Amino acid sequence: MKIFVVVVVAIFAWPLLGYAQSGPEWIWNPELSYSKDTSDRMTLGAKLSVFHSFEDFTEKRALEYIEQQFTGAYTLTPRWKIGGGYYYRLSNPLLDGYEYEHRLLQQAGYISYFGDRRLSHRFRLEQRIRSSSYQNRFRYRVGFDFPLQGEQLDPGERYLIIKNEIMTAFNGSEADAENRASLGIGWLLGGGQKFEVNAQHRTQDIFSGNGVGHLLLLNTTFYISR
Amino acid sequence: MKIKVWMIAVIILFISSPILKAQAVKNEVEDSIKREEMPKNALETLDEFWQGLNDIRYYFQTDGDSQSYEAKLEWQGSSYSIEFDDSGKVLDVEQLIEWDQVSSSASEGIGEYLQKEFRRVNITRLQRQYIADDEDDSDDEDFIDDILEGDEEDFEIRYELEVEGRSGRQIGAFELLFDHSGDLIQRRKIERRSVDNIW
Repeated sequence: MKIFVVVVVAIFAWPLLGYAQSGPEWIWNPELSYSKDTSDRMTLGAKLSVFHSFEDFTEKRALEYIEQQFTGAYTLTPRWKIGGGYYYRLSNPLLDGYEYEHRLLQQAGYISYFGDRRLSHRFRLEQRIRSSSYQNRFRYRVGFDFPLQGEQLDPGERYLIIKNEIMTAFNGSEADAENRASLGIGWLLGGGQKFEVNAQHRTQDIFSGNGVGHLLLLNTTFYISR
Repeated sequence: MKIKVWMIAVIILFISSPILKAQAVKNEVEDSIKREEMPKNALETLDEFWQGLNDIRYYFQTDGDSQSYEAKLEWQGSSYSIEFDDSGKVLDVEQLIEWDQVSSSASEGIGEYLQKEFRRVNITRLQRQYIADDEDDSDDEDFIDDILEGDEEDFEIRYELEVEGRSGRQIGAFELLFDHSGDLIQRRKIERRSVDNIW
């Protein structure tokens, strides 16, 4: 299993090394997530997310943004959830003339369970109020995670997570589309904690007419759920 | 460029190391294992009935105090799960079935319970459990032979259901165990992992 995990990561990392030589942006995205079930149906969450460029890693400009996220989710049925949230992003926080973004979101999710394997669909609407512009966006994400050791995920064991998200901004001047494909490995640590490493490839500005952009992102998230 | 390569190397090493695994306290564990790791007596029982059957999956389970082994196989269109203790003696046999395979005496009682206790219930998994009667208790081959031949007098049948629904103030997934006449033996709520990483 150890070899399998290394091979899967290596296969995914290899093309990223190729991209690195041809110039797309490389980002490290560490996150800390906390969520709490406040009742049988309600969950509240908070997350701190950082975007840090690998280029000029130690320079102030490499810290691209810091984002605080607050969300709430309500369980409608054993499979359907609805929720909303507020994000606040500070871009280039270490530079003079930083920019901000307030983001409101509304979302619905459907999760199917096949033993300990889970397939999720998430539909999200966003209103992005930025210091320089305003954008409406729709996002759809499909995700699948499953244990790597046996059929049941026990504390201390690893799982694989595959996600793909498409999104489109649909107000006139900002209209465009993006795709985010990611592959990751997680560890269920017990005590409601888990740690994930995800490699993500973003295909951006698909309809811009100015050439498609690529962003390669290494996400590391520590989850605490109570 | 150097820092990117360095980061990837560190992550691969991190993934392949036992550091994260060692941090967690593992009380209940289910792991897939190789055939050679199964108890010898268990393999002899399996070979007696399913010699040469491919795709048998083997598992080891422990809750910290006791341990057991499990073999999962497909046979004549049905999924079977056979649980053994650490000496290789059969503990029980489970068969994945559809609702119309539940005996009429049990389905009536189970149906009434679901109707009374749940709103909009959905059965997501249904298993028939075979428990050896006393006379077969020490003879695994007779026990499995009785199951495969359908000698229902020689074993006890139970039904294990996994359902999704709302029961009182609780919403989610539940595991329900019924006896052969449809009376509830045990009920527990299935605690699912947080969905914060996929939702």
